[in-house]
This record gives sequence, C-alpha cells and structure tokens, in this order.
Amino acid sequence: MSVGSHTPGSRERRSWTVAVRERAVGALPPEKLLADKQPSYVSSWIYVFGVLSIAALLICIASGLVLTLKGPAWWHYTGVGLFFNSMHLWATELFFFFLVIHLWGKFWMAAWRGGRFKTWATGALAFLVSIPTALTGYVSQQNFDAQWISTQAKDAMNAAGIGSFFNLTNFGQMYSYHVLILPGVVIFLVVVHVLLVRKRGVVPPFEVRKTTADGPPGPDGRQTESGLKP
Amino acid sequence: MIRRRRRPLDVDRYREWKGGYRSYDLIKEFSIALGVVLAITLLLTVLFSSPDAKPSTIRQWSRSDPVDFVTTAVSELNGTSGTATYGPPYNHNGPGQHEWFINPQKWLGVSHPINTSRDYVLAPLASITGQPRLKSAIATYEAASSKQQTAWTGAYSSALGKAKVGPGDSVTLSQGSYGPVPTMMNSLLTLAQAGGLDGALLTSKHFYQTDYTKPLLFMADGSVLANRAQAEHLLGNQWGMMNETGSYPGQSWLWLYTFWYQIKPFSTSANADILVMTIMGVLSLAFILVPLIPGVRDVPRWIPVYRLIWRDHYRASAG
Amino acid sequence: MAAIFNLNHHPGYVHWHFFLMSWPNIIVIVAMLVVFALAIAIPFPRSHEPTEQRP
Repeated sequence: MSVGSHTPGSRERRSWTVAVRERAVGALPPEKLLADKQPSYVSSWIYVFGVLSIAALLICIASGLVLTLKGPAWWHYTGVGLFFNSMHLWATELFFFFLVIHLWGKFWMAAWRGGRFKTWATGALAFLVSIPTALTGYVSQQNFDAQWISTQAKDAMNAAGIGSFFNLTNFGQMYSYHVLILPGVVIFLVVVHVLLVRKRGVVPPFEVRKTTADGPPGPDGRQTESGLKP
Repeated sequence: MIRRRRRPLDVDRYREWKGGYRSYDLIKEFSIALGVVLAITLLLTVLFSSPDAKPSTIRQWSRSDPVDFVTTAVSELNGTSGTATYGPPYNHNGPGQHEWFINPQKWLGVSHPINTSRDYVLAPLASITGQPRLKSAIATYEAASSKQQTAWTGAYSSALGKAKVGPGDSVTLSQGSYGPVPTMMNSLLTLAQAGGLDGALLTSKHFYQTDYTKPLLFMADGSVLANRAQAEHLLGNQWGMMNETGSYPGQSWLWLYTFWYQIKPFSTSANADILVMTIMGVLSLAFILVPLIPGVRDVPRWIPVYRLIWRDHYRASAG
Repeated sequence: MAAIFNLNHHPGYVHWHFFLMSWPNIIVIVAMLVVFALAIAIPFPRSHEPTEQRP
C-alpha cells in the first residue's frame, strides 16, 4: 500500500502520521511557512517590532543558558558571569520595550480582523506569561533585590490563593519555574503566534469606503472614494 | 440612497488579501534583526552592566541593629509579628485577605506551616548545647502559663523601646520583670551574630535546602529589608514594583500593577493585594478578549492611526 | 568587568501628587512612545519592483 493512499477501503486503516502531515502541510505549505513574498501594504517600520521582540527573546534565552551552565551563584563572583547576567537583563528590557511597541502597532491596526483573533490572543497571552517569567527571574537573583521582591510579592500571591503552590521565597522552585517551565510556555505561545501569522497572513488595511448600497467592496481593498470612514 | 449597512463581522472582509505582493526575504530580515538587537544588548551591557546589591543576612542585621533584631525576635516568640499573625499559608492565626465572601488565601489552607515562637526562637535555642542557664530559662518559659509568657514578653517589648546598644553589639535595657526572656534573647542574639541563625533557619529540617522562606520571613518581620528598600524607593507606596536598585531602569511594564497601590481605597486597605490582583486579572482577561469587546475593538477605527501606518497603500490605491 | 557608567547610585525622581517615578523609568517609557511614533512616521524604503498578484 502506497503512503497516503486514500482508497475507500483503506480509510479505517489511515495512518495517523499521514493525517497529521497532510493537515500540517495543508495549513502551512512550505511556500507559506517560509514565504518570499509579502502583501504590498506591508510598508512601515512598525512591522519590524515583532521580529525584534523575537530576537531579544532569543538573546535572553541564550544568555540565560550560559548562566544555567555555571549555576545560579556564578555571576556574583566573576566578571564573565556579571557580563552574561547583564546581557540577560538588557535583553529582557529590550524584549519588553519592543513587545510593547509591537502590541501598540497591532492594536492600532486592529490586527485581530479577518479571523485573526487567535493571533491576537496568543500574542496577548505571551505578553502576560512573560511577566511572571520575569518575576521568577528577579526572585532567583540571590541578592537584596530577590529578597525584597520575594517577600513583598508573596503577599499578592498569597492573597490570590496561589501562594500555597507558588512560593516566591522558595528559591529552588522559582529557579525551576524561571529556567524551564515559564520560558517553555512563552516559547510555545510565541511559536503558535508566529505560525498563525504565517497561516493567516498579516492583516490587510482598513478599507476606506462610503457605507452605501453600492455593493460589496472590491477584493483588492481599493479605495472607492477618498476621505471616508471605514 | 445611503442605507446604513449592518456592521460586518470583518471576518470575511479582511480574511484574505487578494491584491499585490512584493518580494521579501524573511530569513534575512530575521538575521538583521538578531544582529541589531545583539549589538544594542552588547552596547547596553558594556555601558551599564547590571545591578547586584548584596543580600542582607541575619548575621549582619543582628550586628548592625541588635535592638531591631531582638524586638523582632520577641514578637516572633509572643506571636505578634507579621508572620505570626499572617494566616494562611503559614498558620491559622489571621483571617487572610478577602473581598466580600471571596477568600482564596483561606481556602487554599496552610501549606507552609510556620510556628514563629518554635521555629524562630525555641528550636534554634534548643540546638545550643553546653549552656545550662539557657536550658533552664527555656524550660521555665515553656512551663509558664500563656498569660505569664505574655506578661514577660510584653514588658520586655515595652522596655526595648528605650533599649541601648551595649558593648559587643549587645542590647542593654532597664531593669524589669521579664522572667527568662532576657537570657533567651541574649543567647539568640549571640547565635545570630555568629551566623548560626542563618544556617539554622535554612537547614532546620533537611541538609540540602533551597527554600529560604523561614529566614526571609524573619528578616521581613523586622526593619532590615524595609530600611534598605525605602532608601532605594522600592516600597509599595513609592511605586516600588516598577523600580530597580541604583539608577537602573526597572520593570516599566508593571506600571499599572503598582499604580493601584498609590490611590485610595487600595492605598489604605488591608485587602489591597487581593483587590489589585482581581482588577489586574479582569483587565488581563479583557486584554486577551479585546477583539470581542464592542467599543474597545472599534477604537482603532475611530482614531485613525492606521491612516499613517498604511499611507503608502492608500496613496497607491488612490493613484 | 566594570561598566563604563556606574549606575549604582540613587536616581532622580519626578514627584507630583501621588505620581512618583524614577528618571530611568521615565526615559524608558518616553523612549517607547518616541520610537513608536518614529516607526509610524519614518517612511519605509520601498523597492521599485512592480507588485505581482498572489504567488
């Protein structure tokens, strides 16, 4: 039996692998996944802030990886360790900097239009999960900052009821969350977000047209009359 | 005739772009972005490095401010400290924060039990050997009624308000009816100043330990951390959540979290944390659901920033 | 590896009623707004190749 055969008699024995592959390739064929063409309206610097955010995240992860290789106390005692800790901190600041600008751009473009709610939602979730990811990093520093932040923020966690299983003053737990669990969630959300962007494409501009009974708008988004409301 | 069209759902209208495309190099753009961000990160690292304010220890605290240390220790002994009266998840001695009938702090129960008089005073003192006078003092205290214990510790706490730092960072206070409490507190102070209490609170149950809850809560009950935090503008009422030690930029993305703590009723409420967490939880959910919220989702349409973003497209379409 | 600029000192603060923010944080937030405005305002270099229909 050839791979991916669809003879009626073989439907019950259809391969799971084939099904997953066909679904994945159907949703994201290679020319869509790694496209070399983009819509003509993508013509603004605001569009680069998504990839800048991803770049900052990658540098954060890479510098964090170096920090984990030598253990959590290393950066306090060596210049090289302090260097990589600094890279990690500034990459985090840049990540949030670019992410906020990316978010503002997407809001003003109403980038959720055209069935792109999941793209917006995964992006928003990635931002929201990044916040406790950063928090667990701050309380893993093993310095005064960590002492203060953990003893203060624990009140918010306890009040919300999650302090019983998310203990900010437990360094071992917080280090695990920061190095593995939460970055894993962020990376997963970012991957899904980017795949959704590849699948759905970048949102087209608002059509600027008169609300008349003239018929449906043209498929290419051409402006039918000037200076009118969408 | 202009007929008001029902607002389209925008789903089909904007689902697919059927207009023109241009060449574009995804991998090259990503590579350039990575290079640019790496360069900026390196520049900031070389220019500013990163902060690393050394942690406080119980040893340092007990040497630099022995009166505050002993005052805190007595409050742990008589169950009046912040931790002792906190409630869940440390003990049942406080109601916890709540809003109306919603009390998740209480619902989740005591998961990290701390008995402050035992864990912070009696157990560390019991580990000291070769001191019969101390052993006798502990036995006297434990045998006394709770009313007697309260009388001793209450008198001692009041006297601490006028205490002086004596030779060798000891605490000197006026004569009074304190029972065995001075002997216990002096021994605890000596243990702390030698560094023994830092270790005892960390490894009281296990050799390997990564849970700093006990020593941290003990220090947080005193003034050592708060004094440093105030100097660095890290207190809650100083927008501290956003700040960093020194002149480093902090967590500007937390501006809305910390904002609520600056205004009434949150700034004066005993339930501020649960109230703020609720507000931020609702706003976070609303943030995710912006596309579904009428009004909010229409703001980009009403305030046409998009005309600037897509001006090239509109110009080309009109031309 | 010492930094070129030592930031381990107290920053200045802007204090107005209940608003209290350090100058470093204000600079970061203002920079975000400025960069956002510039990103929209600065023309994006366009290639002059003709657009083609959907690939």
